[in-house]
Amino acid sequence: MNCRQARIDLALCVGEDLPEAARRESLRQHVAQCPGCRAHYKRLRGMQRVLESSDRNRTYDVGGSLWPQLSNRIRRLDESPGPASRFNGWLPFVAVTAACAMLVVVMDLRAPSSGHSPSTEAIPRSMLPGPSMFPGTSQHQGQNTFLPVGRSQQGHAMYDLESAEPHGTQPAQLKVHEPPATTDQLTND
Amino acid sequence: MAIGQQQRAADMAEALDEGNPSSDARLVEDARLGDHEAFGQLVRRYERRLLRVIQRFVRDPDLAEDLAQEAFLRVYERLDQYDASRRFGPWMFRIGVNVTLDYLRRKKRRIWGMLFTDAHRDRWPDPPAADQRAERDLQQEVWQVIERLPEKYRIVLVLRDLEGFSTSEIAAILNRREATIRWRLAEARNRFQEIWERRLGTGAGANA
Repeated sequence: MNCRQARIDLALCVGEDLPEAARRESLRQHVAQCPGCRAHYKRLRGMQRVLESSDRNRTYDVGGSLWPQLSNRIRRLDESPGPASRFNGWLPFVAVTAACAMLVVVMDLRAPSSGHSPSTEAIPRSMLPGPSMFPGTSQHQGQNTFLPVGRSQQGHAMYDLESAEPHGTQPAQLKVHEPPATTDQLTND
Repeated sequence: MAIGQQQRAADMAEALDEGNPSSDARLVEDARLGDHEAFGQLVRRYERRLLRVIQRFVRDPDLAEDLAQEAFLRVYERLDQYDASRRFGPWMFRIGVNVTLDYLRRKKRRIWGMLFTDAHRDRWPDPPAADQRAERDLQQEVWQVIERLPEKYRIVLVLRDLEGFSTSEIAAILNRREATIRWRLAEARNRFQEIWERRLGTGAGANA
């Protein structure tokens, strides 16, 4: 046994907390031949006496029983809604949050993918007006090689975009394939 | 055996040995079934001992009572989690010690260092001895040294050397192996002795 192990065991020994008889005997033999550990043991015993004497006359403020007040709190605890009911209180909040999340998801799904230009995203093709809205523009049908829709539809879409952004840059494909006749006609209208 | 040790042993017997495990288990079972009076018996059986332990860490008696009530409330709420094959006392003290330590940690977080600097200014109950001032001074000196120990050592030292729990009971209260508790206890005693001597400025001061 070395001094380090001996000092651990000595600290247990002063409080009669060293369980094994074999260790106690080994400790006794070490202390018998080690003045440093013997002195340490004396100091530990002094420490133990200090602890005991400091606590000998200590008193505690223990008034009446806690039970009368505690029983009232327990009764209130039992009468309060249980965990399931408390959870029910969150349901409206959870439902509204879920509904908002669903709405955001649905709107996001309906929006065009990010590869499209902003101008084409503004008005989906399905929402473009039909040929009946611009009668007399059917003579330009077939000139548009970009969008497989009627010329009148194309012309109206371009008109819309230009009027929305009169000074902005238009998408290249719209300008390249812009039929002059359609523009003239729309201007004349 | 010293008077203090006799008193602690008597208290321990009152709280742990006379709290018959089988009757504890029966009371717990009755309380689980809604018998408030059964839980009341458990409270009355352990409250003095629990208050003593809590007052080791929290000097204010009113605060100690609040913490004890909180501990018993948690015990009541967790009765379903109690393993009836084990002793009720250590399980209950574990909750009480945890409630107390949680409070101290929150307090320490709020004002860092307040735990050690303010604790000795808390109100101490006056000892009935004739030389009250000397007794109180010694208590405060000792407690100031105890408070300088790291928490894991301080708890073990207090529960063993001041409250008289056995190392196996402390192991059950703190949910640690008994070997761990013994190692911490040895470390706590050695550190206490070292700090005590350094405080007195002499290597032989503790022997006085």
